[in-house]
Amino acid sequence: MMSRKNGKILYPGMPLHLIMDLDTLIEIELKKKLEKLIDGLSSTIVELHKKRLGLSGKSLSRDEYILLFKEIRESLERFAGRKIADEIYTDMLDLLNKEYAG
Amino acid sequence: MKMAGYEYLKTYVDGLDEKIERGIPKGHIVLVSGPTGSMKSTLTFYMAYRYLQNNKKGNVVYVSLEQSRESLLKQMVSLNMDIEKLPKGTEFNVFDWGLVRKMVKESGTYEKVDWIKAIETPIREYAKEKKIDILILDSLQALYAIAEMENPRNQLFFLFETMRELSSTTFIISETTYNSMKFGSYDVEGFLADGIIHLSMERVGRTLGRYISVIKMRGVKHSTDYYPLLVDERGFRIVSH
Repeated sequence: MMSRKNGKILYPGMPLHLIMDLDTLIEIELKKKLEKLIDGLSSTIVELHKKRLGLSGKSLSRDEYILLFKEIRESLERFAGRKIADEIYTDMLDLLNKEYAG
Repeated sequence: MKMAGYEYLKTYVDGLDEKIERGIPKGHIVLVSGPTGSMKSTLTFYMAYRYLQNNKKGNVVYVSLEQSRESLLKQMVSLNMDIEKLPKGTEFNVFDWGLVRKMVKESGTYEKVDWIKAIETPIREYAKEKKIDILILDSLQALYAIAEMENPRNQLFFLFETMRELSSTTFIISETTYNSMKFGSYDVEGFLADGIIHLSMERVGRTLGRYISVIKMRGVKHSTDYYPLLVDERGFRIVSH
């Protein structure tokens, strides 16, 4: 069933980047995942990893996102172990692939 | 084990549980205090590890504020405690907040962080999803080093209350000096805790011996004697005669 939000037509299963831009969507999702582990420090940690990779302050390509997720996964593994790191990495890759496929 | 309204957590230190009736009442907050080298972290890890090994279910959360996860786990493997070998259905989570501290320092925002809240909130959120049977905070002094303790009595009260609300059995590791009978840094930790396990070290000639005493355990009759504490590949045990 279709609905409207802020003048945009929404329908179930609609790729979220058609509602908000992809960068915002990915960052929100990534920070949400990290918040469970490190609360309000998630933004700081995402920004730090972007800075380390020279990806700060720009829109990222799909490959750059994958690179960023890999870096964050490595830190998460050191922080909380492989299982949690892999879960978050896989979820983020799935989201990325879904949005690019859409 | 359940008796007179309490469920008990064994210490798995051979000989010690009999000295504290049936063990540590579940839900208690217990300070494990002692000087460097007295095996505070190892003993606490051991109690949690053996709990999961024997129970075959349950969840442990170990919050390390200084020692890295990798180094802590390597150290425990060398003592026959490999969390990868615990039964399925158990979870032993070790969170390396020392790493987060380093990353936040690198980002240049270290001073702006409310560290107590930053560490406390994820534990609370985690506990909403999964019951934490045993929570370990290692250590109080590391927390004092990073958090601004403007009103320690008040801040510690709320920190302990937050942990109490989780209904987990909580072990808080507290670093003290040699030959000290102070169990924390602010004289209030021992009062707020339900129990105090004190590890001490004493030099006799060329040997530095380890000793353990249960100084306090609310709701439990216990001896306050100090017992020699031994550790080998079978685990911890006391010498009580």
